[in-house]
Amino acid sequence: MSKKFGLFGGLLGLLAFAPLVFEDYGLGLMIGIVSYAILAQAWSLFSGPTRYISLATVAFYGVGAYVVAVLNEDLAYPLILLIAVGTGLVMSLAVGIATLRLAGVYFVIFSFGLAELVRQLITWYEVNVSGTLGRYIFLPFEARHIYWMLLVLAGVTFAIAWWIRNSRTGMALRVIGEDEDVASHVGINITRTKLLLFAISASLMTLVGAIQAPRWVYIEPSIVFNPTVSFLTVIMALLGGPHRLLGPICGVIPLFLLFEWLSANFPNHYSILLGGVFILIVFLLPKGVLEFVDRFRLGGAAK
Amino acid sequence: MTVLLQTEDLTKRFGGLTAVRGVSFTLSFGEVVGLLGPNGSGKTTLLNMISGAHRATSGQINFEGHPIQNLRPDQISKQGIARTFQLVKVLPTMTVLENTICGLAFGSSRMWGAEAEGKAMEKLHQVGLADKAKQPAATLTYIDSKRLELARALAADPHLLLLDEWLSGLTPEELQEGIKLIKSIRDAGASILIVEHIMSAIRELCPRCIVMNAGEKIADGLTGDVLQQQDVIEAYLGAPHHA
Amino acid sequence: MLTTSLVIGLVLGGTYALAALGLTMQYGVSRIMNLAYGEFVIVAAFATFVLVSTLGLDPLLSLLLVGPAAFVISYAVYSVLMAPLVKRSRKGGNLEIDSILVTFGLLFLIQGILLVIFGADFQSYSYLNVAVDLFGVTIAANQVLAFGLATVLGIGLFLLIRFTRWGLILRAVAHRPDNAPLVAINVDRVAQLAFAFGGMLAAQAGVVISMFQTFTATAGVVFTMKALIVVIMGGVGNFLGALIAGLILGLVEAFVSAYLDPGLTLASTYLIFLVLLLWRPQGLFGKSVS
Ligand SMILES: Nc1ncnc2c1ncn2[C@@H]1O[C@H](COP(=O)(O)OP(=O)(O)OP(=O)(O)O)[C@@H](O)[C@H]1O
Ligand SMILES: [Mg+2]
Repeated sequence: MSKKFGLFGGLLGLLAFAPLVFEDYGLGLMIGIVSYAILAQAWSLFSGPTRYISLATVAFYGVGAYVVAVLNEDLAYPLILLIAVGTGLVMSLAVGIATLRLAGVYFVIFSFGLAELVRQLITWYEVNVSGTLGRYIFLPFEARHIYWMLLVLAGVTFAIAWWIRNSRTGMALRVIGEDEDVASHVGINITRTKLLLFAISASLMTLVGAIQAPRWVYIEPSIVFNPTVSFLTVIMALLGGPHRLLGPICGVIPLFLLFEWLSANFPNHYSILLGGVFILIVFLLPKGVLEFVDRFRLGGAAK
Repeated sequence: MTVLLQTEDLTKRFGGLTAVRGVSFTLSFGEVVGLLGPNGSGKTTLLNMISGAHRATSGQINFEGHPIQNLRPDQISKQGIARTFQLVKVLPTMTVLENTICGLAFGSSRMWGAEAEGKAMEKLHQVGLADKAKQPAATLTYIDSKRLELARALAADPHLLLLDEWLSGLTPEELQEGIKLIKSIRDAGASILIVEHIMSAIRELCPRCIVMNAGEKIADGLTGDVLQQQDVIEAYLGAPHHA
Repeated sequence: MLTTSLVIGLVLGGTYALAALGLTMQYGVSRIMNLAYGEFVIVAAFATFVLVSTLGLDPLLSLLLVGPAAFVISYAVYSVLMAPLVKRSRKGGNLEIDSILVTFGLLFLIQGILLVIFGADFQSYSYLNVAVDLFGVTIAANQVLAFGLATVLGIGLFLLIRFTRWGLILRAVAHRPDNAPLVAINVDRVAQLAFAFGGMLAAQAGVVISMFQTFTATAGVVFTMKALIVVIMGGVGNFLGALIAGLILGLVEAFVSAYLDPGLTLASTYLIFLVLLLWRPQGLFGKSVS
């Protein structure tokens, strides 16, 4: 076990040297990969075991970025991050309490529209209350600082994922995913468990948005609430296998590079290709996405 | 004998259908009671209300002196009630051992780690599944799934065990094994409410039994006496016409 | 202002009801949760825009063209994308989740195509943009026509479902998909036709909406959301419920936009959705399952 930890720590340490090796473009790619690795891992944390497919990633991500945009001139940076996490937490709890007791499909629908709702609410607020649409972020961070912060967050995220997998809560989640009747009858508080995981997952997503925010310099709702973020997160996590600890990252690297290449070479047809690749992935997983996911689980259990 | 479980005027309606109507009974510490009745007479529904799977439409359930009719299943499980399901529910992609650990990780005992594993293995030995501990539950035969469900229910050392037709669907040899297993649990001092259709099993396991028909309790007493009762015999003989 | 809001609410509600009828057809009968549904609405709106502005066609005529075309296209979409999912769902796949994911992909695909062709700007064309007086309310003629069309199409569909053999079959599949084969109903075939029919309704709603509203390539999500909310409000597979729920939603939006702020209409929609989910998850008119 400690060997695995050493390996993990060593890898992170090695990755920390990336800014010394890569140019701007390369570092930008690394930032993207690490961001999506966190998002996909956070997504899998909740949606993997519970099978509640969340399409709301960008709602939290965007809120994180927006909090930074609003507060960046007034408060100390660590405090801003704290407020960002708090906002994501409150938002996820509110959404979770309302929807997690219901059948999965209602959750999907709700999460599907959540980003649009938040975007419209912020737009409304900015136009009517604060009177500005669009904000500037002046923080003294270069790409490498953002990269390092994301790397730390990635370490924390993977540690949380590892810890949850091996904890009672992780088992509770797996039981819930398999059979809610059994879960409640062995003493699992289903709503509380789902809510806890949803909140953790959402807080991590919010942080990714908050840390990435300074990269934009100029922010407005239509920029940060870009639905492709939710979309990419879901495909990456699904392709990599959300039940394996390293599954999400396995999906992130190839897909991120693929989409990066697509957006560089076919900027106008990016969305079309994105949709096409996604449909293809769902079809290529022969017995359906869940079956694919379960095969990994069975494999894991048999070992 | 002190009362462990007491229901009072318990009623459950599903829309226009009254599945359980005004059922009152008690079950004492260490008692093993059979619950029988024709198909659709409301036995499972009664069990569901006790375990919290269904909220009672009206009436009371007291367990160890506390009302539990408004609690959720997870809260009731923490009070020390465990059950099996009529349609066996094991967690297919988890191993037999993990399935059993579920039974003691969250309920009243809240064990974890090596301690939980040890206790779970002990229960698997008890039901005869120890050698399959590492297999995914999906690979089990029907009887083994039933055993596993029982191990999971026993894992938390429940104060009250609810069995819903745990013995049905077994071959004659398996049935004998099953009866022996439940007997050993009974003889260790457990309190059990057994829903069952198989008369021979009821006769062997339960000194006392309750009979339901069309949602109502129609008999409650010593098994030998009850099974002689005219309305009980009629309820059963009449059953095929309704089924 | 009160009557104005009422009339505008009914106009909006009529189109929402129409859009929701198509979705309830697709989800209630075909069991496909179509997240790209709003894109069908928008594509129809753009198609009408093109027909009107390049060929000078009357939007009413385009309704006759776009509707059947949408039927054929949806039929094909079902054959290519949905039928394989339905097939594999029998071998243990999960149709609901697979269809959600595939149509999520489809959403981006269609949106991408629209963006390439039309860009991200708001589009509209002028049609019957004259004021008429209705119950003392001054309202654009195109809105009156839109309401009339939505009502006629909605009532037509309702009668079809209520009184024809085909409607009976649809209801049978919606309520008891497992039992339908027992009475010699080919569920797969009905599902495909219902999906195509749902696509046609989406397109008709799109044409009607384009007569009085501006639209953009990215507006589909909002229509999907609204249609979904109406379907859930009305009870999945409940056609009359969708009709009534659509009107309610339209009215609420009209009043919120008149008395609070137009920017809060989606939020109000969401609020209704939330309250409903917490209070009656089976829908306003769904049967209560205890
Ligand atoms: N969730 C439910 N919703 C509606 N009706 C139900 C529900 N559960 C049970 N019923 C009805 O309640 C009645 C009693 O059912 P129950 O399952 O309790 O009978 P049972 O005595 O356990 O029968 P069996 O011996 O067949 O298991 C039946 O008519 C059944 O159809
Ligand atoms: Mg039963």
